[in-house]
Amino acid sequence: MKKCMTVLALAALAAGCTTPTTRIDVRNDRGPEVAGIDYRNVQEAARELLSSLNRSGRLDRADGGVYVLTVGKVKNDTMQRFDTDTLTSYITEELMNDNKVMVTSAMAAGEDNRDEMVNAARSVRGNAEFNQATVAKTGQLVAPTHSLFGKIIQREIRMDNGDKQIEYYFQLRLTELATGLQWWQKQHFIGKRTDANTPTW
Amino acid sequence: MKSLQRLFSIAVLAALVTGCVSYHTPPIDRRVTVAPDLGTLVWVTDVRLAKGVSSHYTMQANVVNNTDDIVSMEYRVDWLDASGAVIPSVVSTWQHMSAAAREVLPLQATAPSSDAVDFRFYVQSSRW
Repeated sequence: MKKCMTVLALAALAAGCTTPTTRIDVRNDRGPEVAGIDYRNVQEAARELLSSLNRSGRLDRADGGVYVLTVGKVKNDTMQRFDTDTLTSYITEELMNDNKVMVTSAMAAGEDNRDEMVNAARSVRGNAEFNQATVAKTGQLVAPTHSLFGKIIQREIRMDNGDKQIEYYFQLRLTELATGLQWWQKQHFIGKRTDANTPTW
Repeated sequence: MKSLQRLFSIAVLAALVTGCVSYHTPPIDRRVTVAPDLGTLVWVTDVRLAKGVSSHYTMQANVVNNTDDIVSMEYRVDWLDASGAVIPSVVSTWQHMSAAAREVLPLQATAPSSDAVDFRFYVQSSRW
């Protein structure tokens, strides 16, 4: 009985020491800076890259039409494991909302950005179970006119006082696929300094 | 008559001097809101809006630090469509900045949509 009480008391103490889970107030986040890349850094990079692309006027078409965009490879060259779609989806979402581009799901560098159903819908050609008038015909897929690709780079530098300086470079480029010419590019830098023992992964 | 002339000259001079006195007051632009926590530490001046080569508007404003210290702030730009509604966008999030003593800091922000025709510029003290 005594042992049981002790265990219960210890459990209660341990529970009291844990940090309760709270929701991040994304509009007024007072959380301290972290050494790694967090959502605030991704949003900042997206804001700067998107603003630069919009300011360039490269995706403005005189005839009011839209370009077809595919998301190429965005390399995560950092020590952290995260999906670079967290960055590119901000950009493609806003470009589509602005009617500047249509994003193709038929062709993309990342498997996750391709919709398997595009091919699956075509695999039923000639299948008597499907009304063939409703099956996608050949020659209907629209090829992309432009590709968005880039890289996120991390550099770590030891400072004279032993602390660590972490440099993040967010790079994006826009290629016209017909010519291979690069229509736009932008690099956004975020730098942090922290204790030498602070991990970034 | 001579004294009347002298009086008139003095009155004219007084009027001229009064006209030349500059009052150190912040400029007022209805598109700009400086949070009360910043008081008169900073002013926002020379607010401009132009399109340039793009179909998207870009706003520019100078944030003037009136103090002899670094002032840490945050700013946000909300973009409005023709009906005055805010266009939700990742570009409309708080962004940290700091201005050195007496610095005039030019800031730019580009609209996320061609539908944006106006903006609101907000400045507040840094929360970190």
